[in-house]
Order: sequence, then C-alpha cells, then structure tokens
Amino acid sequence: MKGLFRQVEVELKLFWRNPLSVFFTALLPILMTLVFGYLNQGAKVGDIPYVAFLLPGAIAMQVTGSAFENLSISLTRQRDDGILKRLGGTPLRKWILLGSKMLTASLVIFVQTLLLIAIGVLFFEVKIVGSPLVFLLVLLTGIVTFTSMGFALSGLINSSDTQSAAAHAIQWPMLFICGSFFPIDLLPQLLQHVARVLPLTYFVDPLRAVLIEGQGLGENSVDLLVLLAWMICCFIVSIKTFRWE
Amino acid sequence: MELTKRKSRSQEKGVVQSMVRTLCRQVEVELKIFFRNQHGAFLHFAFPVGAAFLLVYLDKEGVLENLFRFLFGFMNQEQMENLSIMSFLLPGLIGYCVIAVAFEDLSPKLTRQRDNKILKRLGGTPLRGWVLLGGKALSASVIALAEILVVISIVTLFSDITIAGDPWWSLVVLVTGIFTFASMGFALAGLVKNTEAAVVAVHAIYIPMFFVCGAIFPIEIMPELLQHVAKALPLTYFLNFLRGTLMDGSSVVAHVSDFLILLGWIVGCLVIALKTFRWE
Repeated sequence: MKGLFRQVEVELKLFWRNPLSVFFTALLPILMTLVFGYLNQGAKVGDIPYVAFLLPGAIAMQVTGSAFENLSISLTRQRDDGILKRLGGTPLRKWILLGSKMLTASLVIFVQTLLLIAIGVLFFEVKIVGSPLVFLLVLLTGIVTFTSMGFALSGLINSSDTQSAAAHAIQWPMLFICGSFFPIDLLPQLLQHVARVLPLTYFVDPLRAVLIEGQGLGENSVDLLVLLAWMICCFIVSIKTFRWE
Repeated sequence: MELTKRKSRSQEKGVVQSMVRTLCRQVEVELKIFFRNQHGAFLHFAFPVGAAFLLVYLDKEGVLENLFRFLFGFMNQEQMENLSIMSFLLPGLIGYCVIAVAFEDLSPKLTRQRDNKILKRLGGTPLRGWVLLGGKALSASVIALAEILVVISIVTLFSDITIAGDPWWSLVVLVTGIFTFASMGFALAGLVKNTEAAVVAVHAIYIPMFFVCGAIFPIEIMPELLQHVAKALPLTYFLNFLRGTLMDGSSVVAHVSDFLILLGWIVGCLVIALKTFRWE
C-alpha cells in the first residue's frame, strides 16, 4: 500500500511538472462548455437545459482525454524511452504501477470535474440534483474503464507515434457519436448503432441521469452493467498486454 | 569597365541561383523527413480526411443541418437560410489543415531541432537562417496544399456544393495563409525558451483561435467582446478571404483589405522571427 502511495506521489509530481497534459485535459472541456453553453443559452434537450445536458459530456471528455491523451501516450513513451525497463528491475509490481497511474488520473479528474461543475453552476445556473456518492461511483467506474482501455491500447501498439494516432482516432469519433455533445438520435441510424456498442454511451448516459436528473443506480442498472462488462474486459486486456519493454 | 560590370552581374546571378538551389534542397530534405515518419504523416492526413468524409456522410444522411442548428442554436432562422452548412464548414476545415501543418507542427519542430542541437550544427554550415526558415515554410506549403486538395476533392465529389473560385487565385490565398501561420510559428519559436513551452503556447493560441475566428460557426453569433477579439486575429481574415475567393468566386481585389492585413501579419511576424532566431 505504501508503495502505491509513493507511486501516486511521484506520478502527481510528474503530472504537474508537465504543463501540457494539464492543459490538454483541462482546457478543452472548459472551453467547450463555455462556448456551447453560451451559444445555446435557453435551448433545451427534452426537459433539461442544453448546458446541463452538455456538462456530463464535458466531464466524459476529460475522462477520455486523461485516459487516452495523457496516460496511455505517456505509458508508451516511458516504455519507448526505457524507463519502464528500469522500473521493471525494481521490486515494483505492474499492478501497482498501473494502479498508481489510474489513481493519479482519478485525483486529477476529480479536481477538473469539480471545476467544470462549478462553471456550470456559477455561469449557467445548472441545477445539480444527483447524490454525490452515486455520481462518484459512476465516475470511478468510467475512469477505470477508460484508463484500462488506454493501457490496453498502449500494450497492443508498439511505437508512441502510432499510439498517439490511434488514441486520437478512438477518442474523438467516440466523443462525437456517443452523445457527449448532442443526443444520439440526431445521428444517422448506422452511427446510432455504432454508438450503442461503444462504452462511452454507457458512461455519459448514467452520468447525466445521475448528476442532472437525480436518478439512482437502479434506474441505470443496464447501462452500468454494460459499462462494467467493458471495464472488466479492458482491465484484463490491459494487464495481459502490459510489458516493461 | 564594361567587362567588370558584366562580371559582377553574372556573379550576382550566380549568388541568386545558388540560394534558390539551397532553398530547393532544404525543401527536399524537409519533405523527406516528413514523409519518412509514416505514422506522423498518416496522422496529419487522417484527421482532415476523416472529418471531410464525416461531413459528407452526415450531409448525405440529411442530418448535418440539424446537428449544426442544435450545436449553435443561437443563430436565427434568417441567418440559417442563407447559409449552406457544407460550404461554410469546408473553409473551416481548410483553415484547420493550414494551422495544423504550418503552425501546430512547424513551430515545436523548429524548437526541438534547436533543443537537440541540430540547428547548432546547421549554424556551422554556410546555410543562412532565412533559407532554413524559407525551406520549412515552403515544405509546409506543399504538405498543407496536398491535404487541402484531398479534402476539397472529397467534399466536391461526394456532396453537391460548388466551388466557384479561380484555382490560381485560391492558391495565392492559401499560400498567403500558410505563410502567415508559418511566420507566426517561427516568431513563437524564437520567443519561447524550449519545445515544451512552444507546444503549450501553440495550443494555447490555436485552439481558442479556432473557436473564436469563425472556423466552425459564424462570428456574428458570439458576444460583442469576442467578436472584437476575433477581429484582432489573423485566422478571421484568412477565413474571410478564403470564403470570398475560393467558395464565392469573388476576385482578390474585392478582398484586398484581408490580403493586406495578412501581409501585415507576415511582415510583423517575420521581423520578430528573424530578430529572435537563434541557432542554439
């Protein structure tokens, strides 16, 4: 346990030292919320105001951003640079390494999520009605799912160049079609079917239902079970494909 | 007397020739380096091409307009009616190609070469600073123009929008834009300390610029303050210029103010770039 905390400390230090990663994961969702929120003041999606609809999407955006752009790319780079190889020679276990990266990402995401919610509440009068505990649970499930997806990606792909291409190629279309910024029924049938397979749909929907509509776990059990299934698959693949060099 | 004059003239000609030759050689090397990194090159082309296909697909399915109206709902009906979404978004996508190649990629690459002492070695050769920068800007033009050509072909082949612009004038406009952002990138590279700072600065500039300057939605729907910000940034003028010439087919003369502003940006940035340029 001590080893894990020590790793988290190191990871956090490294994270703050590299301004780019903070920048990428934090700025873009905030900018999206501000711009689209402003442009669509007064617009509604069903019963809820558009900004309230968008907020969970922006949260999902920084979860995938942290997972794909930060964690997964930095893991591959560390492997390319031979840093993982050196770590592999120490008593550090791989699950502690991956776990600490996940925990670090979670901490950073929590802070950014609070910031986003604050922006929504202060600037756009979004009403947050969900239970914080349930929200946290859904958020954590999502974080574990997408970070392990990122790790799996890093394990499956050899070079960091290809990896950054693959990470973007997965992240952006997924964000676009899975209902982060607009309801998926606006898309053509085919893309709707694709969206119903991808895990992000099953993360954004419950996140929105809990945070904005104040639903509990029971009403979202199907979505959460699908997400959980994705999480377990990605987790197993990420552990299986992990390599120190 | 006559003889020495002729001699100096031919010498001058020789100098110019050798400079042009060095410049061409630089472009060749830059392009070779770019395309040798296949994944990097693929990534560069993949995004705009993917986006072009997505736009065309959404347009064919008839949902593009609904989506656009949904995301930028503030726009009133009247403005929407006069707006073909596809011909509005295509210049935005072209603007992205230009910025991605000439600014986002070029500027950190230059600082990285400086950080890695590659420039230091080049500084020891007869290569002049401006030839190096010129070579980089020209090779970026080749890459960006290739991307733009692919994007335009996809959109015109698979959707029913027409491009009214004269190809040669459009080329002038595009190259002006590419040089604007390339010189901005060089100035930035000179002003910042290292690559890490360059990457952050580049993103801090281009992402907000992309939102504000009318690449994805008309600037008129923004608050007054942001419209003023947009009017201070070069991308607004480039897009305006591009929409006028490439899409609507008006002449460059009609957009001469856009052109002059971009030219001003080029000159200003180049002065900063050359003043701050360093080999190490």
